[in-house]
Amino acid sequence: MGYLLGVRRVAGVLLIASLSACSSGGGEGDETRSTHTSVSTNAIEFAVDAPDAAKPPAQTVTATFGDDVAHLAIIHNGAGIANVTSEVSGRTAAINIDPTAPTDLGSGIFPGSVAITGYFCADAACTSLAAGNTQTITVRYQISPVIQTVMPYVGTASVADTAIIRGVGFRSFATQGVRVGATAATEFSINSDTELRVSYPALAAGSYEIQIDIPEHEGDLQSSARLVIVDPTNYPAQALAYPTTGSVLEVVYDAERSAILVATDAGGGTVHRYAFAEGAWQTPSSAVVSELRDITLSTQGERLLTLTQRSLILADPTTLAAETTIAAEGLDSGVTLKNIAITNEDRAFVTTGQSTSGATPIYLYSGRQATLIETSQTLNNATPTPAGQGSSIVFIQGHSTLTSAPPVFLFATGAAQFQPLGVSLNQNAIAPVVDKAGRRAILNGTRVHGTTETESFALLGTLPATTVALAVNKAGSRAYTYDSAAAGILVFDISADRDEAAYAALGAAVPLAGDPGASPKMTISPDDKTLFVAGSARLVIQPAPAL
Amino acid sequence: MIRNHIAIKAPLFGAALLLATGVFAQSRAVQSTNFELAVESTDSDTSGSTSNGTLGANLRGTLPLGGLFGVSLNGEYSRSRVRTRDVLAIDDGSNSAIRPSCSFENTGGEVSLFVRRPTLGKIALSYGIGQLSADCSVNSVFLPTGDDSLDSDRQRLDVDLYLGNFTLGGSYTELNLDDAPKLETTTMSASWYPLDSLKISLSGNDQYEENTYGIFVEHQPEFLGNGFGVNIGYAKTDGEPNTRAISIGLSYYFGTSVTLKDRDRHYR
Repeated sequence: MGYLLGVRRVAGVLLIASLSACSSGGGEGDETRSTHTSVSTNAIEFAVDAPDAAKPPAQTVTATFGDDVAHLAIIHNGAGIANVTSEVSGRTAAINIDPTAPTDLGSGIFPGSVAITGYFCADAACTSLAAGNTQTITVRYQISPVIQTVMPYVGTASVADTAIIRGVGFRSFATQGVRVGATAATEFSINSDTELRVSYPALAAGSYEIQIDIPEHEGDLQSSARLVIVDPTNYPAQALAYPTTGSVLEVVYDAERSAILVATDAGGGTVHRYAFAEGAWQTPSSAVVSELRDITLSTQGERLLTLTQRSLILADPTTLAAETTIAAEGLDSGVTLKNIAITNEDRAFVTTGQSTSGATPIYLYSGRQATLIETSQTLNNATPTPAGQGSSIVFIQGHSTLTSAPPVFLFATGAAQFQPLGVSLNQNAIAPVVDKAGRRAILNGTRVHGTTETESFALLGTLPATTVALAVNKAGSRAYTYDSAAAGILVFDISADRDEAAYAALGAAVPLAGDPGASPKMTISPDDKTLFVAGSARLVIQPAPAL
Repeated sequence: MIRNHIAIKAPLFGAALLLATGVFAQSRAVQSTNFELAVESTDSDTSGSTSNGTLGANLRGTLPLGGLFGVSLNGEYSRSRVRTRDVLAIDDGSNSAIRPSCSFENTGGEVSLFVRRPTLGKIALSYGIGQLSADCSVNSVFLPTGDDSLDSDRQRLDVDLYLGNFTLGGSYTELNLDDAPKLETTTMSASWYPLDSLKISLSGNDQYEENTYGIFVEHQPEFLGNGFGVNIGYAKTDGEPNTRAISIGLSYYFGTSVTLKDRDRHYR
């Protein structure tokens, strides 16, 4: 028994000594632990400048594991991370973090995280694993909004005005302001994820980039929206001859470049360009465009969209040189492209027509993608006119052989669909005219409709049946008509509702500087100061009567 | 480091020598063949990292080999589920869409040959094999193998000294994980039986050169006819991040209705 007690004492001392000897670890730093996991970085960022941008390349983080790490698990979270893979080599692993395609996310900031945990044997027999430290990599994925257009893109110096800014992702960030160049907008509202309405103060002539102030956003936004402020027009009344005469298809005033563009059918199709420089209209330049049908400036004015019977030509608005031709695929025999009208989304609707009455498809041009695609909408020889700063387009349709009037349609960019208005009318040779704000639409040259929400496109009054061409000021309060009977310009106050009665002219007719000839087309400068009347004989520049 | 290992192993060999000197003139190592089925749940938590919940079961049979020796056969299965959401917190409303999960499965077996004198102690040599496999919905891999499973084998020497109501124990384990470096662990323990049906154990080991301390309480309620045992344990590893494990288990003994102390020293 005695020796047993001795054994117990010895054993007890040995146990205590050995437990004390266990204190060999714990004093070393975390980085040196055999179960430690480390990573080359704890934060990565992805950034693309548009929701339709290409997916950014995957980024690699290197993880290094202590000698006793037996297992590696990588988990991730956040919609911005599409996948995480690893390639193990010895005690390191290359962690590849692959972001989600921007087109699947839209714009915004998408936080994510990747957690890398090394596991080691939890017991001496390794019947289970215990977690070592977890290294977390935070991922910030910024997909920027895009500012695409501002419309109207031309304003007048020293005149405060309003405009619509279009783009993508306006609601994905907290916007604190809008800048026109370095000048803050006086007011703005976010109408949708793709539309901002802005009021800007009086500015000096120049070109101003539109920017949005988003404190959360890192870096500048991609902006192709440029507001051009020009001095007011002050052109004297003048009649200009054409190099070659023909029926006028369209007249466009390029306010940014102080130039007039006239599309005629002379020689199978010709575009004449009259530039104002050094106080006078210069000798026009011309470009022959076979089978020409219509022209308009692109949303930001950087291209002249020239419509022929079967294609859309993107041309330089100064030199008139064709740059890109986009064919209208799928046009049936006997059907041709007819007219074009732009929206503020850098798109344009192209109507088609034929010699007989019948429905033919509408095409949609996308400036961003440079495509011309047939839509499912069909109309009968329709004529489009943009309205409300490009937020909508009025389509009037019909054919001289029709016995019942077809409906007038409206395409609103917000609703993105064609809707028949409560008006049915068979179109004549005078294209619809709509003011900048979209308050008044004049159909068939005589019928003034109220287009505000309360007016529901009701007929407010009429203009003389002798009207052969017309334009309205941007506020929708004045209609300027070229009247064949009066042989001059008549001015009408169309702001009031006349209960479908005739509007009375304000004052006497103002004679033109020259006879424009047959089938004239009319447009007005953005500052409402100058009218441009192009007929088959000549181009007339006429100061708008101040009434 | 080498000095520490010598300090740890020395008492083990000393205890073995002591036991060997008194091994003669004592009774049987295993009173009779017996079986034990145990289930255990363990919650392992690593600060600032993921946590595991493990549920496992093992079946052990112990057989006498003559009067002095015994052999024990053990088979086990356990499954751990990793709580991955503990380390991912993104407030972007997308969490519901991505719920990564990961689990580990373990199967293994072990055979032990031991010599025991019930009044002195026990010396055992064991050999075991095991396989761990991972089942993760996310990217995971066992580093030694480069795939989703890991084989292991191990050798262990155990020495227990029975000192009245106390048992002093020590073990030394060598673990081989495929091509990974060999893992050596020395464990020391001291147990006390305040009652024949209750055991309280303190232990410490040096796995990964860290200090792990644990307390383990096992009870065999008499009102259940000494046929069931319950246990609860807690272990903590020093260092950062520290690891804590809480376990709770239930055992059923087939046909051997003896006290816990008798079971440990005459049957297990």
